[in-house]
Amino acid sequence: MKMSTIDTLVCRELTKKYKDKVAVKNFNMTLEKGKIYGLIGRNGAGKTTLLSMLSSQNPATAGVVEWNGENIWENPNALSHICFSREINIGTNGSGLGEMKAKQYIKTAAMYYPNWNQAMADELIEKFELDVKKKLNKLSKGMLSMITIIVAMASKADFTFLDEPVAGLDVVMREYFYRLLLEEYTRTGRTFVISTHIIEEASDVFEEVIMMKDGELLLKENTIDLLERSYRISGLAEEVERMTAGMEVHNREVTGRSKSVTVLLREGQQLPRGFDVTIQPLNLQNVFLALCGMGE
Amino acid sequence: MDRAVKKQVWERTRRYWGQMGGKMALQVILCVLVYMFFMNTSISEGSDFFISFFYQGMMGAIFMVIGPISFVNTSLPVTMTFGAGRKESLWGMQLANFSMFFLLVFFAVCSGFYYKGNSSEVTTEIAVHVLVIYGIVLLLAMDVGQIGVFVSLRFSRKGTVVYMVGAILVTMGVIVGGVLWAMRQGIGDGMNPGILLQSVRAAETVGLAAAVLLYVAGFLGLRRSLMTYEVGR
Repeated sequence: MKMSTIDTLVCRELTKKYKDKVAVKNFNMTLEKGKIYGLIGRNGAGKTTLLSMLSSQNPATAGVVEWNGENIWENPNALSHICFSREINIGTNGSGLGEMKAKQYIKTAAMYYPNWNQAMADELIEKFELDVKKKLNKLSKGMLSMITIIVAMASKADFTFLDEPVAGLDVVMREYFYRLLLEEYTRTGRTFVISTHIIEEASDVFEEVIMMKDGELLLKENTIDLLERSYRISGLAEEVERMTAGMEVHNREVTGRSKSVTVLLREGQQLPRGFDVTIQPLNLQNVFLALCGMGE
Repeated sequence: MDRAVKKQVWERTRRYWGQMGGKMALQVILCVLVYMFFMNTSISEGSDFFISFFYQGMMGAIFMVIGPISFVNTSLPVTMTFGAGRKESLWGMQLANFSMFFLLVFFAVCSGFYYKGNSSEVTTEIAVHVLVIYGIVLLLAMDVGQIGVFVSLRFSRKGTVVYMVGAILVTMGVIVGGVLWAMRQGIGDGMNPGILLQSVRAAETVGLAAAVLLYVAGFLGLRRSLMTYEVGR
């Protein structure tokens, strides 16, 4: 299969407004070829809306999405390189969707993706032990997730987005999915953007993390770099305050005379020494909670 | 657009949407055949056939209304999830709609058998007019269906249901009314055939003009709605 030489998918000032809210605000981002991105944010942060606009499934109110410098809107050439395998929700995607058989859904996907790999789809159907003759409304949430994974993988699109792909999957299947993702990524160099709430489990596969909050881009950073500059500092309140003066501080917790904070070091910053505090490294989930948790 | 991409887009549109329309037409034809089988209707016999003729016409017209509206719930979100553009979907729906005109071919074949057995009563000119009128009825029904798609995209589900029920009742009313009018005029029943044919030609002209205008209005409304359509919302 011939892989494209495309390097980037860029969104500039991407905005989506509805009557009562702004779902995505002035979003600027570049997705590079050959990376696995984790897209994380709270419910309602705008993740699905963003992915929908990046794949032209929803029109933007403002801004533009470009693939290799070409606007993707009504551009079949550009869209043939992008796949957003969205969560199959029988209730909202279309009320008639439930009556569609899984086989027909996958067959339709095969018609529309020019690089579709049927052998891969068949292999995954067998691995997942999916009964494709069943109607979508007779399948469990986990099975519907399997179908979105099959479509995403078999599409062989350069830029592939998955929205909550592991929702409803048991731990065995989730592990299989992460392994499959890494194998496919290693073999083809495709770009994947995975939106998930099961952050810690998935963080090992994310080369970069994109964090969204209230429709805005909070950060987009290499996962290891982010974790290397994130710490939990605990100790007596005065010590903690002296040590963290001038630093980016989040998620403050005060218990009596003790205080705990999460710090994100800026470029060039280092943790000062000589303070009687406890310093703990953080995992991605804790960083997310510190930046997007309640009260932040 | 690149030639290879254009070809790809046309190919998938033809395969998917052409099949949708063809499938719908086949469903109607099967229903009619089953009806005729169970009613033990001979294709060339008088009033029994006329009744199945009538039901075929009715079912066909109703499917032409329902067909386009059914696309909104399944075909549109699915194909756009898989990367179909809006203009592509618009033209795909037109292909599906016009594929259902295969019903007209089936109607013509059935009519041929009927007229063969009743050639003393029905002239070729009348046969052609019946076919033309049915074609216009199908086109009008399709227009109603296409406008229903526009209604469905713009308004709530309740609004769509009200529109659909109304559209089906009106369609049935027009067909029944038309047939009753024709029977009251009494084809071959002493009325001046020249005047009757004049009325029929006038009705065809008005009907065709209305069908074309409604089609254009529905098409433009649909094009506008599709540009703001959101998958999954």
